[in-house]
Amino acid sequence: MGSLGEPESARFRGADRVAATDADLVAALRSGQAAALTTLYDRYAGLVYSLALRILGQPSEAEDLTQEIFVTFWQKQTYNPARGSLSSYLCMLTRSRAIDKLRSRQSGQRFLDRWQQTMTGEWSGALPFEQVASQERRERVQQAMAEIPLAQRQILELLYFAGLSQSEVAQQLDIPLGTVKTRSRQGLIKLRQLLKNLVG
Amino acid sequence: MTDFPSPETTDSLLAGYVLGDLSPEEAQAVEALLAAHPDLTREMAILQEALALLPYGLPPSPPPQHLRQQVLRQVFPQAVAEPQRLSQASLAKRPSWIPWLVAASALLAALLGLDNWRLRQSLQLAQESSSSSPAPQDLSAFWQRSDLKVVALTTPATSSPSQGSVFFTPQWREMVVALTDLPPLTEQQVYRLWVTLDNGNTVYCGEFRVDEGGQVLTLLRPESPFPAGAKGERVWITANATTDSLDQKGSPILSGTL
Repeated sequence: MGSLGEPESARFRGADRVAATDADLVAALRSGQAAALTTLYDRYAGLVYSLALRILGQPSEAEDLTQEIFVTFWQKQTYNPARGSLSSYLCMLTRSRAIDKLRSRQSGQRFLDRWQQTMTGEWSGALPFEQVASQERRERVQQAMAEIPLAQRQILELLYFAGLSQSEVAQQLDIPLGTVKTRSRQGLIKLRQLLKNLVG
Repeated sequence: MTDFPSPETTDSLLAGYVLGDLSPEEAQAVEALLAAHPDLTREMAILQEALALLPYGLPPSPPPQHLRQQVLRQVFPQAVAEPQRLSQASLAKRPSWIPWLVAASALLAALLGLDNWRLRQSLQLAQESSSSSPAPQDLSAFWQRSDLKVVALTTPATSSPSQGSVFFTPQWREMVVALTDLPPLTEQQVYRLWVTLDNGNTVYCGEFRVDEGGQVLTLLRPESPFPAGAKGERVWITANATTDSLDQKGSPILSGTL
């Protein structure tokens, strides 16, 4: 038989028809419907793994952490939907644990060396297949980051992904602490403006 | 009431709060501001959400496929068992399996967007596309069984989102196919489900179509019984022309190993 010939865009639309929202799934999970975790995993494992890999640099460690995040999410169920989105929560949890692991195994200098090696400075790349919502988020965030001035973006990245303190960033970039603060705040405000359709 | 600083100052303070870089004086100013203007809490939450979107800008790195099974196995050890455990253990002896399965079926139906009307449509579709004619009560009876097993199906193509599960009875007399994000087919095409046995033979189990969203929840009954003693090792789905003979299997677009 011939190729199915389904364009990627149409497949994305197919994924968009999955009706359950994150809130529905979290509610289902809490009412004992453990299978909800399967869908939440499919929805966010790519994001969690990408973040873990960026921070930790080692696929095996990123795998372990991804597993830890979802198992913890299932076992402890500490996520409070009133405090923010699930994706935000999972990213916060992943980032926090990844940075803890990183700090426990290497010095800041080694960390920065590794970080600088892995920094691409670009916010584009081949997009994986995920749900259309995630796909759109990726595109919009990548576009937004590309629009933020490099000096601000660089500091935001160092703070968020490398887990460096403002003082450490100032030291590494050899700029005053006040400049780090100003640029990071400006960068975040700019990001918020650029992503206003996503975050409200 | 605390005076409202300029918008620029307020934004900067809130951003600093979210970034955790406030001086003690600034932190005090923010707390006073939030106490006097609770609506700013929302703005702060928005800034936090914006910051938390940063990982979406990373070059994507899909997790390895085995990780999904690993996570599910840890969370539901009784449901996603090792192949040996599945074939050796009677799931009927595991009461905890039953609520999981019922929940899974209900959730799958919900995830597939199948309200009762849609469910009936899906079943009707199954009736049209399969030689067996599952009625809603058949599906309902299927979920009541205590000896069901399940295999998760994933796609070898990283660019495809297709996935799902096949639930089956011992000896594979009945199976329920619950899949999402399959590419829609033309009227001259069908999906076929195959099971490869441990003796190397492959058994055709039935065919089905998907709705316009690429979803299906249907019950199949293989026309021929599986050979006694043979164990299913691999479940796979192909897309075929309706005119394809059963020898023209084609490549799997989804598969799962037991």
